[in-house]
Amino acid sequence: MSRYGFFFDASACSGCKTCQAACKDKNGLGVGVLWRRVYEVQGGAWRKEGGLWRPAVFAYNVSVACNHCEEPICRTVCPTAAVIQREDGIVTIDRALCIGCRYCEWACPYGALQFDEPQGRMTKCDFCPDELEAGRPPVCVAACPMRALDFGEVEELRAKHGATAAIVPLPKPEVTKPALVIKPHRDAARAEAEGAEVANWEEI
Amino acid sequence: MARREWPLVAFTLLGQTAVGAFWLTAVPLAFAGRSAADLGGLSLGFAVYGGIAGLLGMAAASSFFHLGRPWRAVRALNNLGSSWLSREIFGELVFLVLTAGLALIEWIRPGGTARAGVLRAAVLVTGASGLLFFYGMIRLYMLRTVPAWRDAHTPVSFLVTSLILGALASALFLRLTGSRLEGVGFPTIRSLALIAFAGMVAGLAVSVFLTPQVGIFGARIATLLAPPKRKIVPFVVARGLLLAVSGSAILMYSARLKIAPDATVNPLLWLAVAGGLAAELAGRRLFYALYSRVGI
Repeated sequence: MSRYGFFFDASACSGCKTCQAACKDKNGLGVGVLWRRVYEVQGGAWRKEGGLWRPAVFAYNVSVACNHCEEPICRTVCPTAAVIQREDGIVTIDRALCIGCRYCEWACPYGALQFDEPQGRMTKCDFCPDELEAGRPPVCVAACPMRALDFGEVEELRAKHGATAAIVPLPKPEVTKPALVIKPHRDAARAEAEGAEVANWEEI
Repeated sequence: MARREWPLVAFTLLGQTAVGAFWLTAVPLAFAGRSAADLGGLSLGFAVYGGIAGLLGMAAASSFFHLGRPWRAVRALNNLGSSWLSREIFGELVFLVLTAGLALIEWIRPGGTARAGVLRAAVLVTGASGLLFFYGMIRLYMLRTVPAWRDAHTPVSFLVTSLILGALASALFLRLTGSRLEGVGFPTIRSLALIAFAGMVAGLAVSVFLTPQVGIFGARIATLLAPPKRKIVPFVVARGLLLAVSGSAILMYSARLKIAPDATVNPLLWLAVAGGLAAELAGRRLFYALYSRVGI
């Protein structure tokens, strides 16, 4: 069976965070728990051109949830075997098994696993299985006003959009082999070459 | 470091102290080859194994405070096939149960572990389970997504902690139980003091040379979440100063033991133990402060 994956168009994302809000609303997530997060990436500086200083800055946004990796490190490290990968690639957490040790939170390079303090256990994006069963897209995809998010069978997404899954600030895809396809922002190459920072850590 | 990591600080320090103390006292005790009377019988054998089991029990208890759902902790053994955290916990439990079993045997039959070959084998098996526990502790932190922990600093600093705290705890313990073991093939309190001192010198060297981000040969972590040097340096400095204080005290105590081997528990030993413990607390806080994963 093919695996589900997300597509993210960084060149289209305006950073409105509707995806984040829709996910939070649909799943009733508490304060501080974000299954989908929008990272504001910025870099560059003033550049001297002759006798003139010109701003040569850049900024773009990256919307990330769990990438339902081919090699999910969260599943490997979980001591209770609470992290499960379905045949369709979706990675979920068995609520009954999780003991809230937060080891998966340390390990996941996407920050996908989020601790729910009142419940004392880990939570994460489950790809909205109820929406899929009803023939609808995950709510983050459906909510995006810029159509910057999409989903589907990951091989189809790669055939349509290319196989890129790397963009600053995400880790190298070799680490966990995410089911993610990205259309990079025009300044993504500059961010990679010159370095960039996340401007909104306080929000995420 | 988040407050939630204090239970892990306690767990790892107590666990590493127990492993160090077992290999520095329990193993030599079992192979000292003398009668129960020579070894102090029940007072020493039971006290050594019982004391180490107590440390392990406290370590296990402290780990519960780290969990969101501690009443389900038994499930932590579900994933022995792939999770080093499961394996570490398994190793800790086996080590605890076997050490407690040895304490029970000593209580029922004082000196038994010093005579019977079977029981000596049991001590070795227990020691091996301690090593499994220790190895699991190292491996679980060496995550491939956490470069500051996936570094030589992790195993070396854990080993140094085992040496320092294991030797200090053993020296204090044997002194408090009134052991008279010199000359029966068992480490003397002075030799334990010198082992602790050697560990402290090694600890200082690890801080200077291997600490990620700031050590001369330490790994340089370039992740977005890498902690700034200002969050690391205070712990390195505090640990260094405390090791210097503790090392001086244990060296002076060792010199005093050379003059008067039967000296009772001395303020210098207490100072060395307090300084060593504080130094390793600072070192472990440093270890958790180093956490930064690749990516976001």
